[in-house]
Amino acid sequence: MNKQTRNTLILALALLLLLAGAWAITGGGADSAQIQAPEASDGATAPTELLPGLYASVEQHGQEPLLLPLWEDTVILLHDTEEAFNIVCVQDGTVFVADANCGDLTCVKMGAMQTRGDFIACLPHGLFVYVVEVTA
Amino acid sequence: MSTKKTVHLGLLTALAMILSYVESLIPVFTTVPGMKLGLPNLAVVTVLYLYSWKEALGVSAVRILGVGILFGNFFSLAFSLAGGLFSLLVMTLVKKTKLLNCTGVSMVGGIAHNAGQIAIATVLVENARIAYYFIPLAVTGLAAGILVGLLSGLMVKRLQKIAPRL
Repeated sequence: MNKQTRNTLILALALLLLLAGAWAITGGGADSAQIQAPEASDGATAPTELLPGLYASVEQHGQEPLLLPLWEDTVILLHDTEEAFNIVCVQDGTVFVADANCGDLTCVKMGAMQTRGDFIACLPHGLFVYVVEVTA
Repeated sequence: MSTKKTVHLGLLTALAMILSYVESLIPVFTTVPGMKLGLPNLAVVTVLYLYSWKEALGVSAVRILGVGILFGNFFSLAFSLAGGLFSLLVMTLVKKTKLLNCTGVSMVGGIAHNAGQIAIATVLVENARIAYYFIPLAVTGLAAGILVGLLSGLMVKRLQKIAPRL
């Protein structure tokens, strides 16, 4: 085995180990997809209080996320510009993009997501949807 | 540029474009965004080894522009360009170090391609969370890069005999 082949083998193994390690540490992003529910003040239940459970966090161009509870079926229409749209659906505990006019339709093809940390991205429209867990 | 060289580069560009199309027909790689075999890179790596980074840049750019105009849109074109150019830059630098063989260079190129695309994706959705996706993507990029590198190595070996440096 010559030196270049040996180096390549070593690098391939090192990179695999590094990626496996990074995956183990971050849990593929699932570990950080968690939000602590804000405590209700003076025992009063605020109308905007977040119940514990799984939510779809819908964000467009890094704006304030819209949290949709996965246990409530919903359909929302999002407009990036006047023409650009995505239809985000929550159904049976899953979230998916039902339709869009982004061209490649990667967001629609990605299908339904239901596990914490899973995401759907529509890059042409700057849309990012991911499953987040709110804990009590 | 000699006629012979023009013909060779033209053929390899055509090969890269056909491989782009073939790749787009494999269903699993269209539903998992960014996950690709990187077959067109076979032609790019081969040109990088037979000629230089300049010719590889030409083949890669013509391939991306051609495929983008034929089958894609402005967005997919810009996205491919980011991955393709960053990958070629990294491969050229790694090749210059002479530390890795053809397979290694292609492997690093595969990961660089994913890195370039994730970087663009992060900018577009303005959310750094998408970077987590780099990990599974890089594993496939690494595997695909090795496969493409092995094949390119074989191609370079054979083509060098009939197409000495022009």
